[in-house]
Amino acid sequence: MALVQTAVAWLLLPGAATLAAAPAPTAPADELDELGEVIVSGERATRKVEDLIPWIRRLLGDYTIEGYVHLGGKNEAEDRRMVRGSGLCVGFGLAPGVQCEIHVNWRIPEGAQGPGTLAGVSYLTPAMILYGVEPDDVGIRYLQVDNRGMAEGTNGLVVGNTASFTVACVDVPEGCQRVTRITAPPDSKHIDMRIDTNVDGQLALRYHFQFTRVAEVQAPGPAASGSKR
Amino acid sequence: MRRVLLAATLLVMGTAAAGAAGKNPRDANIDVSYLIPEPVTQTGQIAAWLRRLAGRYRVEGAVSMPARGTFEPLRGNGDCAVVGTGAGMHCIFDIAWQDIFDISLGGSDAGVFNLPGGVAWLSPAMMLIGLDPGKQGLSFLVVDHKGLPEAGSGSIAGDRATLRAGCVNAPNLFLSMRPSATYEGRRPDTCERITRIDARAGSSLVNMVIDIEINGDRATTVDVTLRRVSPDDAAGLQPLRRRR
Repeated sequence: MALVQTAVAWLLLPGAATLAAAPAPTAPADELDELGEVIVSGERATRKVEDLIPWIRRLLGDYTIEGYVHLGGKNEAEDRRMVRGSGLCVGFGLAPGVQCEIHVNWRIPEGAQGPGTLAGVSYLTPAMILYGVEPDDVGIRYLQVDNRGMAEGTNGLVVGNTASFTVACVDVPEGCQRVTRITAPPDSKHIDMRIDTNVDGQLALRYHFQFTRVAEVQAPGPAASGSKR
Repeated sequence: MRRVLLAATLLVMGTAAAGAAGKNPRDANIDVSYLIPEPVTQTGQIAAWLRRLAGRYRVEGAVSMPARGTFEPLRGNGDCAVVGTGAGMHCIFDIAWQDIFDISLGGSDAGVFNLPGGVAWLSPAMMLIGLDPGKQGLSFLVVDHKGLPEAGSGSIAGDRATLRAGCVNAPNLFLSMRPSATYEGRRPDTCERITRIDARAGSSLVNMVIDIEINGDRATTVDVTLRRVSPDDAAGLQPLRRRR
């Protein structure tokens, strides 16, 4: 009995899941690759609105964007494209709301084919993204509209410094899901954005952008609106 | 002879009256044809409608709460621009009115309470609208003066887009309303914001009506007329921050 209690307590420990998810040393290399996509953390999603506000404020700034795109989702060298771009995120309102305009470009593959973003074309030239603190579902809600006018958005949870959003692809008919992870550490001039597009559970496209803040953008002060709703 | 003439005259008058019966507006049997706006479902047509919103505006209108007989004028400005060369539309609003509260001086309900839509939540606010081809309609997000988001979907019929979203932070709104306030005979339970935007091609006016419905009952209407301004006039508007 004491052995069972010890086992349950061990599983409930925040660090236990991490240990449990660690691959066995004898596992074949293929299985290790599969597990490479799994992130198991003992951290819980932020469940207080006041804890979301510091995170959303970290998005403000004038940025240069660098990184790469993996067309086809595989780590093939010929499918990798360096990206260049810029972004501006301004705040408004009390929380604040954040509005970002980004321009991200890369070399389009010859004979680009496939539905929507899967063709490998950048539709982020520009794209507009609006973020707000969602008090009802306690997360960050966003909507992104790209240069075709396609809108994709949902509510996401913040765990630690990372907000994660999972949404059905608007430009691919079925079986496509886009997972966006934005990591914004405090007191850092870098923001990391990864956007994975999965089709039928397989990674089909990966964007990895690093935003580097080149100029501060003033956050709106709390005096901007003192009224209550 | 006279009798024959009189009879003939009456017969002619009677026939004429019968012929005109269909044009009599008091005739209950009058034929009425209703014009049903055609749903706009093609992506290209939705995009064309969205582009009608682009421009800078002076805004006038009113906030009304029919059940209370409250009417408060509003003023401000707006700036809508397409996202790139596509169909997405991004709008910045700065529309203000005198905040309206429910004030009770006596009795068990004494206090100052909130009303749905009483506080000027569009000063400032941003709205982003884009295409949702799967639903043959629109997706939108409004982030209000507090930075709180309201997301929803919409459709277009004729020259009108109808956008629906649940009110953000509704439980807190309900808690801050007068305890005895009832809608449809019960305490506030549901809250929906319905925005109707009328934009005709080539028109200098855009009309936007925002209804806030509590328990399905219209509690507040924000009626906004956006008047497009020329670039010269736009210079006089309050600067709205945007990099194009």
